[in-house]
Amino acid sequence: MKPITLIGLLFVAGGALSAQSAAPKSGSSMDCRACHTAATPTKANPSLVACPRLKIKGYHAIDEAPATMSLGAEGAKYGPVNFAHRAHAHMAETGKGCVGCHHYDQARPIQKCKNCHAVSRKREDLGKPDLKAAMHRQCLDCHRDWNPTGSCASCHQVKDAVAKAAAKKSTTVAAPQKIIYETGSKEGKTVTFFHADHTGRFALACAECHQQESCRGCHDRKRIGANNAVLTRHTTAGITEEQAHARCATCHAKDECSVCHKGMSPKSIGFDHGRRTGFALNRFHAPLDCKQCHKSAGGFTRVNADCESCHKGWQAKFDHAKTGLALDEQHKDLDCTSCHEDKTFHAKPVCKSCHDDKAWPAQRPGKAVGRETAKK
Amino acid sequence: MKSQNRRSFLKASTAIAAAAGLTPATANAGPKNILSPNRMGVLVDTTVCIGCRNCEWACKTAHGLDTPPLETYEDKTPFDQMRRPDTTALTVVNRYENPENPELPTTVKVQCMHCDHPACVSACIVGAISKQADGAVIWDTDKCIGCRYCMVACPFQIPAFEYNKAIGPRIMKCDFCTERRGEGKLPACVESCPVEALTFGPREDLVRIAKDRVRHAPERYVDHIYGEYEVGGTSWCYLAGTEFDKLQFPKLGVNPAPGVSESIQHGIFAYFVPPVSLYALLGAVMWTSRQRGDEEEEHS
Amino acid sequence: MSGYMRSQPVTTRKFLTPGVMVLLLLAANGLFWLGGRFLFGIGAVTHLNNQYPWGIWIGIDVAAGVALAAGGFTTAALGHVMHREQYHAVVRPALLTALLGYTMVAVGVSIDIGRYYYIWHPLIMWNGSSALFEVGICVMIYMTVLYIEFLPVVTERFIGRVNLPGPLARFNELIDKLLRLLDRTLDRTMFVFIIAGVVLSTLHQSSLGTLMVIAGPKMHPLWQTPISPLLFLLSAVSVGFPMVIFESLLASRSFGLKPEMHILGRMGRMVAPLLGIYLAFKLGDLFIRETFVYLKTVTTASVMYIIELLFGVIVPMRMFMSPTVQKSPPLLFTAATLVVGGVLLNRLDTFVVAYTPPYTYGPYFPSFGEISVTVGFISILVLLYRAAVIIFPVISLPDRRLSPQSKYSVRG
Repeated sequence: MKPITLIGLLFVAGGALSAQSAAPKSGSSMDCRACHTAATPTKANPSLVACPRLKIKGYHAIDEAPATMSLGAEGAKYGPVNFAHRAHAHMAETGKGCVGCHHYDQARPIQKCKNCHAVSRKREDLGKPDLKAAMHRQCLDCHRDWNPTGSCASCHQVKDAVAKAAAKKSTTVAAPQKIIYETGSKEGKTVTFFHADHTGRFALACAECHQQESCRGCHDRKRIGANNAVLTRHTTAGITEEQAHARCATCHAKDECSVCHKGMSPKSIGFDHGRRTGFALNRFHAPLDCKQCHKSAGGFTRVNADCESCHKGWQAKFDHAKTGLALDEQHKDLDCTSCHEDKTFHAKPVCKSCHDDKAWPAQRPGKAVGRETAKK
Repeated sequence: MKSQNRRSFLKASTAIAAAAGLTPATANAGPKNILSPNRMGVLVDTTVCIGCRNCEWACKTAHGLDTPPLETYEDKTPFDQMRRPDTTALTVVNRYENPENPELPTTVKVQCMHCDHPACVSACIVGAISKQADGAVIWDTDKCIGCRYCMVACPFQIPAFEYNKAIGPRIMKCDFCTERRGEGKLPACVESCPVEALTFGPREDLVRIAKDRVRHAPERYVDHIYGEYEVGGTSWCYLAGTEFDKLQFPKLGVNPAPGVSESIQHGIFAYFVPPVSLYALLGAVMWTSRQRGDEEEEHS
Repeated sequence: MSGYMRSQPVTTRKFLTPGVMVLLLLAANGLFWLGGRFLFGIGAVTHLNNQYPWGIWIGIDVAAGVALAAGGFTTAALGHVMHREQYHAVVRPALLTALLGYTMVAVGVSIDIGRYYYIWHPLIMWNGSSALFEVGICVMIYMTVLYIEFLPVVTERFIGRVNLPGPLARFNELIDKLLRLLDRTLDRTMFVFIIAGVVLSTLHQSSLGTLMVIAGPKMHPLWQTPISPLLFLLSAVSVGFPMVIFESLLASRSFGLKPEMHILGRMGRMVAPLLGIYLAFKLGDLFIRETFVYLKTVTTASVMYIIELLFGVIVPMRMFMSPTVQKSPPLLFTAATLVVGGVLLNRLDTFVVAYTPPYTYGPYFPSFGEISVTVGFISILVLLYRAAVIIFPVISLPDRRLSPQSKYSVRG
């Protein structure tokens, strides 16, 4: 986590805690037991109850959250902010989740900010920021992080908007094409991570890899631009081998080293199609190029496992002898599914739908020819 | 004639001594310097400040100074130079390198600190400057003679002077928005701050809040509230994430700035005793030496 | 001996000489720039700014001006309070120098303050804790005292000689009577003013030293000391006689008179112990506060401090101790000039060089206009002195008349 985010988090926590310590004076009804289980909590052991900030991932599905909100009142110069709440909620999945903003929100439904943060700056309890400050700090915690010189107009509607409309531009995520990791490995030193393939072709959601990260990790002003398509990272220093592998291991745990570490002697092709997709490739399918089946542009979408989806009208011209068994006259004209139920051709054919006394493979519906398959 | 001289000498001496005896009462006449326990202050948290310079704009607007439109304040090039408050801007924000994150520099608002024991109040020749019960150090332009001794005295180098005015040049500095506060409003800068890096309130509360913040986020702050004790305490206090001298805060002791000067001054004038004693001594010397001279004259 | 000498107007020389022409030119240049200050503000003429609020107008015109006018009170103390008749010959020139010096200080302050038309404010608006207030009030009172002390010179000049032109002639008798009344009154009360003058001088000479104490850490440690007022007083006391020597020798030369070496030499002998006391305190301060560490590196401050102490105090102190110097006009003049220069430099150092504020956009150096005004003021001062000694009986000259008017001869 970026230090600034951590600092911001702690600051807000500090502010809230200081508000508590001020409780007797300001006459707040907040009870210490609301957060602490012990009678005398210490800094080392605060005995906090399961804090929503740490535990709650979401109060409800993101898509139930309001899509947009209008924040703030009309100011002298700036109008309210049209806040794309749902988009931010989705982004927050890679960060702190809902609690990143809805801190200390133990009660449901979600509290309004102004329940705690005073609307007026002139107030009794100065321990926590007022509403305007709280909002600004909350937004700027990230917004300023990746764009330190960002103007007010990048969020606020400006009154004399015509000239300023150009100033409002959506921030782009500077996702790289690929990331080349310079690793400490002796053999296969570089690992190239094809980021674009993972987000595009495999259609992985950001949050599946990115968790508890700062906004700036993705919204990096400096990285926006074509020349950032290829990033180079050095992973030799500061992290253990386990840490270095952790992120990829969620999917690639069982893969050969050479899948990622180019140059290591390959022991297998890597991707276990059967385990991952439930459609094991047989000896005919295995040597094929992925694209021969996964034809749709962009990603590896699921291909219909029905043979017909690829091999159109194959049954009509199928020569069963090629499987090593030339069907006899009685069986030659039967429908495939009469014996091969559910079109699972690698499974044992079923005989008992017609024959009570016969069973595969003791009795065969024809004679073996040429090469006999050992399997099946 | 000589004897008459001596008699009148004595008479005049008594008259002067009597006159001197009266003066202590009037010598106490001086500017107001109230240190109310309820005095207000502002806590500036430089770790929260985003360097938007809205406070500069608000200050100029509130004080009727020539103010460029707010959009122009989004230009960050003024940060390239260190700036000081002057007669055209009573507060300015300066930028300093942040070793933690070069992308997010530290920005520090500068204005009058409104000392609890202000050097300017002590120094002002006509007592035009005063410390108010509400914490503000303000001045009466109609009294000011433009001697600029307040500028010499100020440890924070704050008062500015209208050097290019031939008639009626004014001393100018932050007045803690005395006028606005009289109307029940907040100081302009405090009101305009989008992130409330400036917290306005009773100084006592602010110091407590500042301590809370440092205690709860020790990694965010250096454990020092600038202005809590500096020069005897200031109404405006600062929190920072780096050492204050790196942010160009002057390194000052805890003694009030006018302390040494005032004790010398009051020592020399301790109820006019030293001057009157000197006068008496010189009178005695003069009398005896003149007598001796006369005798010599008579002998010759 | 003094019976043969008496103060009288100098009539041996004309007012206008080539030297005077140069001074007039410098004065005109100063006044030109001064006009700029009044038309366009202080900033238009000076290099002063918010970082350096005080420059040479305060450092030289005011602080050094007050110090160098110290001859007035030291000779008054010597001649009148201690009643050393033999010094009376230099009392009046010293008084005149002090009078003109303080007048320049007053004018110098007036032009330096932004609202010169409010110069009277300190009279009714008091701030007892302000060192500047004390200096201001003392200087105002002392200047009045100086003018009163000078009045007998005026009455002496005009009693029995009031001769107004044209229709005003009918007031001649009345004015003469008033002058005589004034003269009699002053005769009885003069000692009050003389003592007051000495007391006021010690007060504000020392308070001038307090002025910069409040600047605290903005001052270079070499000059920032709590005993600054004492050092100022001691240096003022020790510069008093050298200033009288300096100015007396200069005047003698200018007017072609015989230098009054019998008085000046004896005065010179008193300078060394005074300088010695000053030096002792200055060095004591240097070592007790351990500020000598700042002398180890070569900076403007350390160089100025060394010059100030070496050529302004130590060298002239040694010179004044020598009988050869006490008898030789050129050597005595050199020694006196060194002390005068040393004190002037000390004031300049304290008010300008030592003032090093934490925030600056660049160092301060006086502008041409500032220097012009200061030089112009000094020129005017010299011209006024010259005019005054021609008009009034100030300088002691050998008396050619048979019956000296003893009543007026020995009073200053």
